[in-house]
Amino acid sequence: MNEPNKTRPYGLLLGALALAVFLAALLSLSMGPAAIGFGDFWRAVFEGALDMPALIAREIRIPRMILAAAIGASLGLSGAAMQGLLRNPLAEPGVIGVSGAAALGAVIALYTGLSAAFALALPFMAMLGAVLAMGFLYILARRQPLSGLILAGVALASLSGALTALVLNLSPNPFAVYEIMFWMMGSLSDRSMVHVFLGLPFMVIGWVILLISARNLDALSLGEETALSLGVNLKRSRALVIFGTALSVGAAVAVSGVIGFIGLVVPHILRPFVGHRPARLLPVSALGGALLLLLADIFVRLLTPGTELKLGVVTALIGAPFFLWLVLRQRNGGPS
Amino acid sequence: MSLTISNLTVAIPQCAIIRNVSLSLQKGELVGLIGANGAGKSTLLKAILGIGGGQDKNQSGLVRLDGQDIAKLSPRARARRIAYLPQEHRVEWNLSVRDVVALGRFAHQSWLGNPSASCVKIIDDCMARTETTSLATRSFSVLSGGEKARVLLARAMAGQTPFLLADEPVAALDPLHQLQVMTLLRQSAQNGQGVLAVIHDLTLAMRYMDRVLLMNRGEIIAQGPPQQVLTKENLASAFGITPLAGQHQGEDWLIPWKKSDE
Repeated sequence: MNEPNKTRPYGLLLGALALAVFLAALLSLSMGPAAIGFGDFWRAVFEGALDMPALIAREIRIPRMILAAAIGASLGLSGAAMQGLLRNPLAEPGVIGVSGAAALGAVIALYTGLSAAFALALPFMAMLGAVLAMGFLYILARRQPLSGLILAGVALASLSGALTALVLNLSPNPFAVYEIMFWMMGSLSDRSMVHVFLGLPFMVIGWVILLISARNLDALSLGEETALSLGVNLKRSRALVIFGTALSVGAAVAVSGVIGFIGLVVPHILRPFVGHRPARLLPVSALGGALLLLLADIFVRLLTPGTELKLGVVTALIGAPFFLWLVLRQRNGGPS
Repeated sequence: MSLTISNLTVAIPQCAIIRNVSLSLQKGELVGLIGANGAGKSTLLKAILGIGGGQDKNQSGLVRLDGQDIAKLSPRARARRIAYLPQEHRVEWNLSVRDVVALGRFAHQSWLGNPSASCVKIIDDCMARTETTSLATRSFSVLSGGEKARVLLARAMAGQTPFLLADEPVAALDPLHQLQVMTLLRQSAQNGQGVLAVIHDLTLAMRYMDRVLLMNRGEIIAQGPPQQVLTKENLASAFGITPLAGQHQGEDWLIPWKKSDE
């Protein structure tokens, strides 16, 4: 008798978030030094026009909007899935080490000059890093209990971090260091449709995998043994969540660099609105992540046009204090 | 319909924690599993379901459901036939009581997980029977131990499975709710469910169980009607206690009184 009353606000929440994402996407498209009208977008997409406004629309604005939404969705969704899998509100997509490995791949591309010779070498190398990390995790996931897997992920993340530091350390050229540091801060400027075609398919496959395994996360909230008794194939759903996270986050990092805090904060904010149910948290976290990153990217362009603040810096700058406030408020007030 | 366990052995390196256990559970009977802490009761329940698998745990033996090897059933098909009520009262996140009970229908629901009208009715019914309806919108984590136990029992009942394996269903309950839950399990058995419940209270076992299995160090050392199993000699060898026994209105009662060697 409670159930119908509960599903309605959930539908409402999904609808409201979707609408907000849509509006933020429109706003994102309108952001930039050049004045581009709706007609330009229409001509750019449906008529293949080649004039300047249409080119800006097609080559700059549209890919940037798509990437912000898709990467935000990947981070929010996989953050919610990791928290559900680990039953820990402090988990985030980076915890399994895939984003670190992707970043390392990109850094190597920058260091070796590969990315200078061939622009797409950077995302390719990052994807390669993510894929290698994923393979490592997949082999472990079949043999290790969850705790062992997480420790391996943490080790993988710090190893990637150490190797990245080594590359920076050995880099003879200060410009290369500068470039690497900037890339690692995460950004969506100067991305094109090629980046969309490169990253989006992997992200979408990752989303589908994560959404398929969402239901099992609900059963997992009763503990692993009860989940097993309820008919959950624990090994498979664990592998699916890790695989889905690795795909979507690996692709996201490859395209944008490391963007922190969205995967941690978004599920945390939205959890109370879905009755704390892990499965329902997944779709809303995807929308919430998309919304937050679209807004952050708009903010970045609005605040410092020209010399843009890096997106990852902004999300961490806003995200960390906000998260702290959230945690402190929970401690003092309502049930933790 | 019956659940038959033959020659079940669970071993960790250098030690067998369940030794060659054979038993059967029929639909419609309430069977008590009794034994000292560490005798292997919980391990036995998990081994029957095949869910106790740690890395270095080795399990052999056969569990059959109506003659069919349970290991060959899909996890979902098995979950529709046997429900499990764990000993721990742990639920992650701030799930509402109703959401916890609804998870009992997990194996019956579609991928989208929206409960059908009949599911909703079953959930309501299980909550009413366990007197948890008034808690429906409360957060599980703030409940008292006894309330949690009843909510989780409602969750296990909601699966409407032919068999229920319950690990200490009355452990955290006050005397009134102990009687209430035993009556509920009794009713479930009368409605055709086969219930195997771990229980420590000797009088409740005496009064409510059709049969009891007495476990000691991984083996079943006696089984049969409670009056025949819970004898002075058996209780001395399983627990090292001497009970105080008597009768009231034709029913036996039995309480642990002192250590055997005192």
